Amino acid sequence: MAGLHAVPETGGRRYEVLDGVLLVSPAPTLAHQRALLELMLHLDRAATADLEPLLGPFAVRPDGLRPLAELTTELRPDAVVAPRSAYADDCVPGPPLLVVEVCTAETRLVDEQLKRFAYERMAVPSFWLLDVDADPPEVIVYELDGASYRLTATARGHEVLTVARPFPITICPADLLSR
Amino acid sequence: MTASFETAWIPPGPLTVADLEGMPEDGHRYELLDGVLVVSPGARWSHQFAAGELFVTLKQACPAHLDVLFAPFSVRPGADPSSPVLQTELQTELQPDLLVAEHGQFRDTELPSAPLLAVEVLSPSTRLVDLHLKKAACERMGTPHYWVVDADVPSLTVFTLVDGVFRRAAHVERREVYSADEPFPVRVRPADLVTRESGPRP
Repeated sequence: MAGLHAVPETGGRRYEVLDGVLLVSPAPTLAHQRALLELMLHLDRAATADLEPLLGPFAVRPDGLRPLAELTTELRPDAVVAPRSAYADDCVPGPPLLVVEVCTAETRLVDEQLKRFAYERMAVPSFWLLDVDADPPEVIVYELDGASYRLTATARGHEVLTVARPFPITICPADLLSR
Repeated sequence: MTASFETAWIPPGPLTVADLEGMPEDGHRYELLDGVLVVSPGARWSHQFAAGELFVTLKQACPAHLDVLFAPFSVRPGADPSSPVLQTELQTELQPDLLVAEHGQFRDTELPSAPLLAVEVLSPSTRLVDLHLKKAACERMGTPHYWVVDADVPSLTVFTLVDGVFRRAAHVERREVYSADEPFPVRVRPADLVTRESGPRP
């Protein structure tokens, strides 16, 4: 894992390690960045005082307090929400309360079929997927039910969804892409 | 994972299967899913032993019109044999541990369509990748059969494509026998894939 920190972030690509498997994702697209910025503003307005939404790519390390060389997993989601006191200087050293992945046609499969299961295993209570390339764009909300994620809400286009965790917030996918 | 990742083997711009040919021969497995690069560590003894045993079992039962191959061999769905330029547009290439396909479907360098059967042997590193990501990719490309071997149990789990979705069709453990009808009749007993209980010397 220590080797990961020798990797240059060339071309805006994202480098992540999951159980020792290296994932290299393409640089984000315009739609991805616009939707992510809009979502961050939205999260920031809705957040309660004790919780802090943070823009990615910021490291999430499930065993983050162990020496770097022993770690085999570091993911860098598009956004996280955790208690202010839970952040370390260079990572979230444990499961945040919410992980958001904004996905494009390129990353939908990896975000939905791989990282979702990694966050489930880490026991991240909420996992949101915002697909900006879907037509219409969609938000899919997974929440832990015991040890497994359950799909608890979806919204497509101008539909609106409301979730209670990690704080009450209303989301409309079309609004996130209206810039 | 070492500082060798600092070298410039990842070219700029969107990655395609053509870029995979420039990856180093360093024992890692390089695969591409919609342009996302997935680099897996080299396999362990128990992985290679189980994959080897299953390969022999499949090979012995395989009818003449089908081929069984082992990794690394590229599955590039959509690769058009008449258009080499397409290599620079394709963004998905998988390398299952074992694969079965019609003999006539193979090109020398790749299988340009879904195999009839893809087999993955789990390892600590690739467990999530094999059980979820590659399974979803195989499902999407229309692979009729996807087998997962867990050498630790040992077990074999069989997924079969029904209306475009993988259904778990069978799960056998240890000395139980799975009698496959597809892609050809063959009997597999997980215990036989891990017979050498002592493992390799340290």
